[in-house]
Amino acid sequence: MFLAADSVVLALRALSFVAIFQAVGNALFLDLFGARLSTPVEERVRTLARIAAVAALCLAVLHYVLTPARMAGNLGATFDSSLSELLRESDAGTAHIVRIVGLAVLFLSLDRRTRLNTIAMRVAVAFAIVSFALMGHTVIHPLRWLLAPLLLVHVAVAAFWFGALWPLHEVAGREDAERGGATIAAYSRLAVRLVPWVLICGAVLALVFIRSVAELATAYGAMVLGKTAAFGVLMYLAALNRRRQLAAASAAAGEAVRAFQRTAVVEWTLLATVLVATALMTALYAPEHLEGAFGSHLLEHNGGSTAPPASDLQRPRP
Amino acid sequence: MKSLLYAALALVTLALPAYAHTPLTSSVPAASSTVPAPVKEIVLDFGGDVRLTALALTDAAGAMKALAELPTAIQKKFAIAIRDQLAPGDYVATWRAVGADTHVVSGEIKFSVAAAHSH
Repeated sequence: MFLAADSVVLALRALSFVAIFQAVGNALFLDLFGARLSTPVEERVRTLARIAAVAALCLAVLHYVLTPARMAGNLGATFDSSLSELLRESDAGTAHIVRIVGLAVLFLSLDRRTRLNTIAMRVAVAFAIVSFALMGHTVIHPLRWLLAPLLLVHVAVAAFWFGALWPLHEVAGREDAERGGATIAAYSRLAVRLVPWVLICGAVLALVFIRSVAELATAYGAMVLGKTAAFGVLMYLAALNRRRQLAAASAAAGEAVRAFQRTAVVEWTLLATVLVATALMTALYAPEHLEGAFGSHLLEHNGGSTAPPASDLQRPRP
Repeated sequence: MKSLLYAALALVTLALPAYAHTPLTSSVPAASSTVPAPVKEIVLDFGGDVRLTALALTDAAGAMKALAELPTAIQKKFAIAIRDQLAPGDYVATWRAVGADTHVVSGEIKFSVAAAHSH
């Protein structure tokens, strides 16, 4: 019944997750490793970051504007003033605004490398990351004081990992062997220390949200299991890529570089898939103990032949 | 400096009020129940204050039944009048509501209407 509005808004949410992680991670890569790059490659990576930032900004704005449509299950309710007000005054509204401001500043700060732009970029990255902890299941959980910092680390490191793959692909293909190898090796040294925190924080989050083995059989539990399995594959790929990184760093170019680029593309695609799945599942399902027991679902199971079109629904009085 | 900035922003996330998702706790007619005619309203009782954003009532053939307009107020309990007379048969009430945390909750209530008892 609510299929059209839900499809549009959830698709925007999923795409915005990918774009935000790309933009934030790309910016972090520039901040951490930009000085190591040659000017043409740094400019190219900066351009990619700006494209990701503007895409993320547009998607985040559209998601915010269309959220009232999902609230009502009807695209016609997009500009419903009372629903817009409800959103604006909620935690989710605050989170959206923080995210949009962060992405706008990020886009502007990626113009060129100056001291002021670097500071603005760091603030913008912080805003974009913090926005994830301002809404969602961590906000409504009694253990928010524990979950919010865990989620921040989880998101920040995941963005660092995901958003660096595209720049690394460019660095491997465009930098000379010495400079490119040194940059990739520097990234790899940091990634080896940071990336496990995605798993550690994710595992603690899962333990808090899923309190029993029985809850693994719920939709939310299945999502967590799926993410864990995907993460295992990604860790294997990352390890494989690290070997190829080192090979690419020591070899002049050629097959080692191409192999590294191929694995980076696969890794990016898998991580993007995990991000999309996370965006959809966290919008549709909640941990069992945060969810009602009586016929209440975060998304309906209907849509069958007995359901009337959304336009026929009784609407609130204006 | 960078760490301090990130830590300060992390603390902001802890200063927000906590909400639980708001479930539907009961309804009249109840889910999977058979009620005698006439059925004149649908009552939805939630676990907390929500904005009821959509409600539709259809019969077994998928035909829409007219309901009173939904209130825009945020409240716990809603009684929505059914404007059409419900003949004996199966019905589905499909609803959607938004809690204070703007989380969307929705569901459907299937019930049957039996012929009225003759006296």
